[in-house]
Amino acid sequence: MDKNPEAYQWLILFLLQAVAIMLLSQLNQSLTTVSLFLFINGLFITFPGLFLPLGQGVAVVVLLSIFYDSGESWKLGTSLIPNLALFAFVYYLRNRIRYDRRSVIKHIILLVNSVLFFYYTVLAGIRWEVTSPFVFLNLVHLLVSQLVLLAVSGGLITFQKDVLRMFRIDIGTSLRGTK
Amino acid sequence: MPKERNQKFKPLILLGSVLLIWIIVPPFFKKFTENFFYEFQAPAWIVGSFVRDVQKFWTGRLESKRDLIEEGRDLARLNATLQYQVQELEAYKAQIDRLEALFNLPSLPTYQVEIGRIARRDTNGWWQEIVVRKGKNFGIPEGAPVVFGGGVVGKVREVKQTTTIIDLITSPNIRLAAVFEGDKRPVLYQGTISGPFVSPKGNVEKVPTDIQISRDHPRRLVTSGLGGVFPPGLTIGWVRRLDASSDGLFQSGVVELSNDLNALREVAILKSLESDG
Repeated sequence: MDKNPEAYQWLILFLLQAVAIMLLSQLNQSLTTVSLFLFINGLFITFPGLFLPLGQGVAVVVLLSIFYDSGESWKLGTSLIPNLALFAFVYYLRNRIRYDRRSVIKHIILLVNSVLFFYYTVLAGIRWEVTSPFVFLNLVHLLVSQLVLLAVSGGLITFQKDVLRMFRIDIGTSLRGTK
Repeated sequence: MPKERNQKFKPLILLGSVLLIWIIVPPFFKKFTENFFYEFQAPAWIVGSFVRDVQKFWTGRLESKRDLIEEGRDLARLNATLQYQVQELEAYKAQIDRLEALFNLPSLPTYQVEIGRIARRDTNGWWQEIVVRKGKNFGIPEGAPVVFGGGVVGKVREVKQTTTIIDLITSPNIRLAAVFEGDKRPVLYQGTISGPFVSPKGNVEKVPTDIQISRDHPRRLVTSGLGGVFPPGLTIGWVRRLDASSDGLFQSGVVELSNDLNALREVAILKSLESDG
């Protein structure tokens, strides 16, 4: 059995993100009274895409997709393709950008989040009728989600790194040799 | 060079492999995985719901005695009214039983009420559903009607081990036969997504042209009992305006649903009982 903690960072990160999804669902429950909804899955895809080795990143994204679909009434596998595609996009991007800058990470998170939001909205639109309240409601939810992500994504990225550091995993060190 | 190219395409090869594995995985394994992850999350929602109950309890503890006494008095008055209504209902029931026996009519469907606390609420642009913290462990059947004090809440869509997923009346998945109070002709109710910061709404269609409704005299839309899911007479909502449909044969309009739908803490699931003849 591998005792190197870096071999298990995918599991730590997945568990952390699973807890975040469950907490977010509790927050969303409170927000329904004011017709609001938060969606921040872009953050969960971007982090492994930027900071994890390929195999471990894929493991996190696959588990996260299954976890999210089973809790959210989407048919199992609905999130798998877009999440993996966006993960691959971010993974390719990381050799071409300066992702040590917070503003760069934020832009990627916002982009990934909006693509995912659009994907689920299109799926809901296919299932239901696309009416003007449906479009307006989703636009408001997207706007609120993006604003919240803009405000907190930097802190959440640092938090995820800190949690990994608690398990003696330094993202900078673990990335060495993976490029 | 070829090794470098392989490195470049490694992510795509890996992603392709994952997708291929996903496609060939047998459906029963997928279903098992889905249920496993769902049941893994469900306790967290249930705990969250219990935490909210405790919060509510402590908020109540902080209320002044004067407020509590006043609320107790109001409840006592409400209880007195309800007790009188229960007696009236018992008299009606006896009368119905007598008429059924007299005319050899089949018995009306009867229901057992299962009260469930809401563990989770998804009312956004993608889903209009709630999750109740009772499931197969309480014998909840799929397709059962769900109601609250203000009328119809929705219909059971899926029953899990300890939770039940309910499609809300606002969900476009919900279509049911309804009638206007005092009119026997069925009309069609259809759930619809409402915009942000507005009260929940639905649509009513196929309304005969002779039914007149004005803003000053709204009419209550109730379940018709047709279709066999919802018992007749349950409030769906209120209609304040009807417009002629494009073909001119019918009218359609917006149904204003109860504002409490977004703040419900508890619902009643109606379990149909076998007719005792």
